[in-house]
Formats: sequence, structure tokens, C-alpha cells
Amino acid sequence: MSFRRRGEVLHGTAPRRADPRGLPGNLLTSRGIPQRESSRVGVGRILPPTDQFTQLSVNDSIESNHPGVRPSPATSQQTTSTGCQDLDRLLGHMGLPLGNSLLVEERTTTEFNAVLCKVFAAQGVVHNRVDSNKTGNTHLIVVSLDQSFAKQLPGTYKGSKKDIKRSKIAEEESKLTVQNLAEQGQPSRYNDLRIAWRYKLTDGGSKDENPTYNVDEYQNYSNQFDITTRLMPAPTPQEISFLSPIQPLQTLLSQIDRIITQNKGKLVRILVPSLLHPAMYPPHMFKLSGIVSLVHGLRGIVKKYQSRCTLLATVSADMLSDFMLSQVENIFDAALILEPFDQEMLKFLERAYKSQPNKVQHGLLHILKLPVFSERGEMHVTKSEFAFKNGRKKFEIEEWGIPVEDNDDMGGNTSSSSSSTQPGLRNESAHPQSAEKPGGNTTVNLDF
Amino acid sequence: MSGSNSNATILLKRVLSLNEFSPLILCIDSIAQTANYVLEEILYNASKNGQISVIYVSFESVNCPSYAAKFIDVESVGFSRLSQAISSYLPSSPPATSSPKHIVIVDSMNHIPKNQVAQLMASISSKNVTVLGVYHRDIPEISDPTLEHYPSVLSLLYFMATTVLEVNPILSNDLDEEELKDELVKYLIPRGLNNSKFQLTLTNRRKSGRSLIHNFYVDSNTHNYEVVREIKDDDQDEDENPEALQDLTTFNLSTSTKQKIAKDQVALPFLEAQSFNTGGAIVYQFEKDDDYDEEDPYEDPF
Amino acid sequence: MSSAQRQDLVVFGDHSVISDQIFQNGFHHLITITASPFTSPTWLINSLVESQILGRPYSLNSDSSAVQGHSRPVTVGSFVHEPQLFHNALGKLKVSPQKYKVVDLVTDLVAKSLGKPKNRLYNDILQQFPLQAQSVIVLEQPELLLSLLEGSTSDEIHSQLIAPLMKRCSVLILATNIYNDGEDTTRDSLELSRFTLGCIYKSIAIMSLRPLETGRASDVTGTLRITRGGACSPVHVLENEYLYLNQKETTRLFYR
Repeated sequence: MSFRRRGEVLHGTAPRRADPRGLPGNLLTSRGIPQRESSRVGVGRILPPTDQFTQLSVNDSIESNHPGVRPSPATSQQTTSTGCQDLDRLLGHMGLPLGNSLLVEERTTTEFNAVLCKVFAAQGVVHNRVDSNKTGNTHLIVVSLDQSFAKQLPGTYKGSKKDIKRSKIAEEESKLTVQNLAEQGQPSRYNDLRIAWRYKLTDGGSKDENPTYNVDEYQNYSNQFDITTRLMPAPTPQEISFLSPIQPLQTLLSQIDRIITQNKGKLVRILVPSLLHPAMYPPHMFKLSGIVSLVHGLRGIVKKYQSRCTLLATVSADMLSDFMLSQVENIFDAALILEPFDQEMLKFLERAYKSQPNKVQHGLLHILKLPVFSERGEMHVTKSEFAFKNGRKKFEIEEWGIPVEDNDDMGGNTSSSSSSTQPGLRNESAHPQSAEKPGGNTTVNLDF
Repeated sequence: MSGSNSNATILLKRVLSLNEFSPLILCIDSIAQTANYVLEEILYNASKNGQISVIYVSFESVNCPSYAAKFIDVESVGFSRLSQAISSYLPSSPPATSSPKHIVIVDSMNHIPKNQVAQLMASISSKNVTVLGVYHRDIPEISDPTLEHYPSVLSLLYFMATTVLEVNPILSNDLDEEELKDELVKYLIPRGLNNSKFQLTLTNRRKSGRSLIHNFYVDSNTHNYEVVREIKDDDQDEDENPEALQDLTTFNLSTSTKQKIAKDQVALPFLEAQSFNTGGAIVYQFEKDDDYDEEDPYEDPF
Repeated sequence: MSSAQRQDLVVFGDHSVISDQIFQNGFHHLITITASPFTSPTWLINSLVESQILGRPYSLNSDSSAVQGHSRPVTVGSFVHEPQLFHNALGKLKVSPQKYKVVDLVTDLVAKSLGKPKNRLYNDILQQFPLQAQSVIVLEQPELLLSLLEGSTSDEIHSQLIAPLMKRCSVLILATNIYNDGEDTTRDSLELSRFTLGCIYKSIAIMSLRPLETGRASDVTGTLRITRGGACSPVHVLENEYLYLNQKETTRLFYR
């Protein structure tokens, strides 16, 4: 129907952001270090005119210049990053719109969802530390027994070893000038005209162009995390509250409510990792009334504070019956499924990407519901159209295509690296059948 | 043949007009075909036959039907006092020949607890009352672990009933029973169901307990009943497939009219493919393996 | 796609969305919307509310061939969607907020319901809906109560919530999500099935939304099928099947 320009690769924007050479000092800021570019003081962002959500729910919204919040390019709703840029993009809003909840289901026993949980948490902490002068702007509520989770959060990615050295030098330099800039703490944004201009651009002819990540405008919006490192210093109780999921539901919900009211004016990210993990949740929670009450109660809270609250929950799908899963999915605004590849498929991919081992995907990602869009009535179920892979420096989601297996060690693979970044606007044939049985050497991409 | 057919129609008319005494007439319906029309048919025939007085016992409906003289809302009466409430409207003395016939309609027997069905029926039934019970076939019964070996409500009712009227839709050409079943499982109701013309299976028990089964097409607008002739289907099949293809292989090579129609009606996956007014435009969706260079004028697929 | 293909939403034989005759004689009627979990009926609910307040679903029906109906009081209650969502959507359809009421059944529902006798909870929910003849009540996903309240049954919800709610208005529009897995014979799934079927038997019309069987398409969101339900309607139901496309907050209907 329409054209998609090639070259808008999924990986396209992220490395650029990550590269300190491209944007000097960009990443340093997120570590709570005095910022060099804070000399470019933002004029304070105005809300787009269509943004009714924040305006209608008065009195209880976050500060208008929260670094971790930007309007969704699709609906202008206030949106915050999940900590994974590819996921942000997949959701269609460059993040998870405030007041929305996302469920990530994972098949089999793998723990890829834990990565998403960690970056979601780490992103919140990093937002909170953007401005070291203030008391913070973000609070994280983790509903889990595992308090060591706070110590496992990944640090931001600082580029390759060479880059790190370079950035250290830059850091030193910036320290010299920091005194006279210290009071100008506001995260810098370009002025509003520029934003409006950009919107017009995306509304116009180039609809199929990816909504840009607007690195300049929202420089602290989203970070890249290196899961091999640790977030330093470790998050404090002022940044993360841990709540036990096994206390009486009423207590849990009122505690969450209290924490949210206590953190007035802050963005609150609620995280429920491994919902219904049998080691953590007692059997009575597996009753329909147990789990649905919990999830519905959480939904009630997220909607009550919809101008400054989001929810991410993950669940091992194998632990629940289909019926229960459908009841839980129903209560979330968005739902995704991670389906890791089995051994056979992984072997095949490793063979196919012999020369580029970092291209091997780890599993398929199915979309059930997307925030806001699905609620409106749009149908966004896509099965086997996306694949995910987890790497040291990021969790990537790309369009799925079965690679051509090359017998001679020539090219490695076809151009399957060019992946689209706009989910949900295209209709493609699903490839599940072919995905399950990679038919030897002649396997080709079955796109139409 | 025709003799037994006319007998069947006469029997149906006798049943519908309540000439044959029957303490419990069970009407089995489904979401595909409601029993409402058969109830109306009974009331139509019975009222031609003499005065009737209808007591409507409602588990489901909140509206009192126009034909009902008394409306009992089970929820407000309370189930425990239901049989009392019904009895209070029924005459206690044996009926005089001129007094109206009493009919108790229960709009859905599905909601009666399994362990109380027999009791309830026993307490209402008497010589001068006919109970018309509607049972929804497709509503699943929730099993009660304490009554594991007790028969299901449907089998109880089936056992007790003297007459069973089962209604089914008359299927149009583009829908066969299997497709209907597939749809109904998904709670989808195809068009043209719940119609005033429907198929009726009458199971009538004689005094000995032996039952006779007859099938009818009923048109409740014209009150016309027609016996379903079952041999008809077989005849048609033989007429349609005399082709030489028949015995060549063990495979079925012929296409039935039903299949032909189905083939003609296959919906194309996209609307685009069906709208021809664009004059043969090329619908192009960019694929990731397509190599498209914007600058190259010869690359334009349009 | 040419605009000629576009269709108006018509449910009843007199070319209305909800016929005026339905509101006569003091009867109470039920119309059920069944939806799959991934084809949300929000747009249809909004259009129906719009049609009952403004007399016609302007957002769906392009021309004026549909009959202009009366404006009626509408109350909307949802167990999944917060009132704000309806205010936003209906605001965009230019429906004045004074003309309808939204009952919040999401916020604190769980907190309020814990430890409370079920019949009191049903009653509390019921009391939030005004008793008004000639009015319309829309209730979204009441089947959630089956999951939320321990020990609740379909029969109980039908008799203690749905039926009393029907008596509070002339037309109750009930939107429910369907789940079908014939092999699942757990009590919970059977109760849900009983609930859904119970709605269908009581309804004068069924509007079912579902995705295309062929999967996701960019030019069609799903199908809307309107059929008769188990209850007799005073006005003939125009049985119809539409394709619909939901895009950027607008929905268009096409004939199938």
C-alpha cells in the first residue's frame, strides 16, 4: 500500500544515541553527573493541545518537564519509556502511555522477561537521578519478595571500552565547568515550535516514516542499559519500594495507594515481576478470584492515578491455564507474548548466521494488545511477526524472517537485518509454520 | 406412508392443543432456535380448544408476556417458596369441565437446582395442570460434587416428561449443521436463526412408556405443520451424482451443489482485491528484502 | 476504497439503531454485544451511546437516511474502563457530558468488595444506576464479577444484577467478552459459558464483534454481525453482517 524507506533500521537510532561521540555527554547525564549540555536550558515543554488526559485529571499530575515523559507520536498522550527502546517503539507510542498497563507473558521456563523488568526498573531510577539537585521525580514500586532485585539493576551502557575511556576524559572536562552550570538543572529541550513542526511533519505525507525518537528533544527520555553492569549507586528505599505480594490484598492495594499519594508529583512505575511465580505466590492466589482481584485492583490504582502511573507485569504463561491467562490478559491494556525458540530452531539460526552470531534471535514475540489502540477497538494481534534477541547492551525486537541458510561461507545471510520499526501498520503473512520446521537448506523468507 | 404422515400431524395437533393429558411437556431449545415460537404455538392451539389460564414462572425474563395471566418472578418470590406460589394460583378441587385449563410455563428449567427438580415437579403437577418447561440445551450444567451420580437435570426432565418438543432451526443452503455447530461454539449466531419457521422433533410417550418420534417443519405464522420426509435427502443425493466419476477411484471426485455454492462464496481476504473501481492499481507493500532506491526513476513499481 | 461502499449502522427494521417502539409499553429489553478479547467493543458502545443521546450515531452513519430517534438518558458502567475513557471518547463525538452518566466500577472496586457479602455488593452496584423509564443502561464486562468474587455464579449475577438492572431501564446494552474453549470444563469456564449463553437467550438482538478469520489485515479490523437473540423483539431485527475498519479513532462500516 505504501512505501517504507529502506535503511530505517531498527538498530538505527539506538547505537547513535549510545555513542558519546555522536552526542557528547548525553549518557553521562543519565548517571546523575553534572551535565555539560544543561547549559542549553529547556524553555519548559508545553503540552500538545490534544493532550486531554493530563489536563482532565487535574491536581495530581507530574511536573510538566519530567525528563522521562514525552507525548506519544501517535496519540499525544503522555508516555514514559519502558527502558527498552525497541519495546517502546513496538508499543506504538515510543513508550508506555501513562495510566496504561502492560503484561508480558513468557512461554517455557526462560527468563527473558526478567531483562525487561530490570530495564523498566532501572529506567525509572535513572529518570529519578537525572536531576541531582532535586528530590527526584520518579518512584518505583516493585511487588515482589525478592528485595535483591534492587541490586541487580543494570547500569547504563557507556559504549565500548574505548568509548568509556573517552567518556571519562570528557567527564573530567565537564567537571571543570560544572560550577557555573550547576544551578541550571532543568533538562534541556528545544523550544515548542520545533516540536510542533515535527508533529506536522509526521502528520503529513510521510506517515510511514518512523516516528523519530527525537533524541534531541527527549534526551533523557530513554537510556540504553548494559545488563552486565550494575546501576551505581544501588537504588535507595527512597527510589524503590518493595511490597510483598502475599500479604492480604486489601493491605497491598492500600499500601500502593499510600506510596503513590506520598510521592506526590512523581511518576510512579509499578512493576510486578513473575506474577504468580509458584515460589512466591501461595496456591490460593491461583484461584480466579485471587489473581483477577489482584490484577483488577492494580488496574484500578493505575487508572485512579492515570496521569502519573504505569504498570508492567510479567508472567510465566506455562504456569497458568489458558482460561486464567485470558482473564488476566483481559484486564491489561497491552499484552505481549515472548516465545523462545527451541533448541532445534536455535541451532538452525546459528548455522544460518554463522558469520554474524550476534544476529541470532532468541525467540518470537507475539502481540495481543497494544496500549490505547486495542482499547479503541483496533485489532492488533500479530503472531510470529517479530523476533527478539537479548544482548549485553540491549534487548532487541525486530521483524522476523527466516534466514536463508547458506552452505558456502560466503555472505552469511541475506538482507534480513533491515527490519521495520513500525509495528501494527503492516499486514504480513505469518510464518509460524515455517518457523517451526526449518526445512533444511532451501528455507527462504516466506513473505508473500 | 402418507397415512402415517397424516397420523403424525394429527398427533402433533393433539399434543399442541393439549388434548392429550400431559403433566410435563419439555421444550428443548438452543441459542440457534428459541422455544418461544413453539410455546406460542401450543397456546394458540390450546386456546382454540377451550379456555386457558397461563401462569408464567420466570427465571429469565423480566417482561410478563401478554398471554400470561399470572407472572411469578422467581428471584423476588424466592426459590424455596416457589412451589407454594405456583400452587396458590392453581385450583385445588378437581376441575369442572367448563373451567379453564391451567398451564404453567417455566421459562428455563436450567436454573432449578438439580436436587430439587424432581421435588418441584412433583409438588406442582396435578391432574388439571400442564407444565411447559423450557430447557436450554447448550447451557452447561455445573456439576455438584455431592451429587456425583445423580442424573443431570436434562435426563431427569426427559425421564419425567410425557412429551418432549425439541426445536431446531431450518438451515438455509449456505449453512450446514457442522458449520452451524462451529459458529455456535464460538457464541456466534448465524443469520436467519431464531426464526418463526423451525424444525420440531416430537417425542411422544404412550402410556406404556414407549415413545414415538416424529419430525416436522413448523411455520408459526400460518400455523402450518409439515412432516419432514427423511427419504428425500437420500433421493436427492442419488439424483445428483450419477456421474461417471463415481466409481473410478475410491476418492470422491465430484462436487456437490453445496460445495459448489461454498466455492462461489469464498470471501477474498482483502477488500482491496474486490473493489475493481481503482482500475487495476498495483497494490504494493514494501518488504524488507525489496531493494528500493528512491533516486532511481526506473525503480518505481507504479 | 470508494465511499459508496460505506454503510450505516442499522439494527432494527425501521432503519433505526434502537427503535422507538422498543421503548414502548414499559417493557425491559436486553441487547448483547459479544466481543473477542482483542476486538474491543469500545467504539460500538460509544456509537450506541451517541445514537441514544443525539438520536443518531453521527460518527458511524455518514448520510441521513437513518431515522432520527429521540434523545434518551443514558448511564454507562464498565468493569474495565475508567469513566475518563468514556468522557474523552464521547467528548470527541460532541456528546455533552450532562446528557449521560458514567458509573465508575473500576477504581477501588476490589477494595470495596473484599470481605463484603456478595448480595450487598450487587446491590451497591445496582444503586449507582438511576431507575428511569425510557432510559438506556450500558454495562461493560459484568462477567468480570465471576472472576472477581469468590463463589459467584452466573445464575446469581443474572438474577441479582442483570435482571434488576434491566428493570431500571428500557434497554440494557450489555457488552461481554467471550471465551471459547470447548475442552475447558473447569467450573470457572463453565460459569462464564453459562453467563454468555444466558445473555444470548435473554436478548432481543446480538451484536457480535470478532476479528477476521484470515488474521490481521490493514484495511479491515473485523466483522460486526447483528442477529436475533432468544427473546422476541417487538420490532423486526435487521440481520446483517458488516466489515468494519477502526482507524485513528474513527470507525467505518462496510457490507460484507
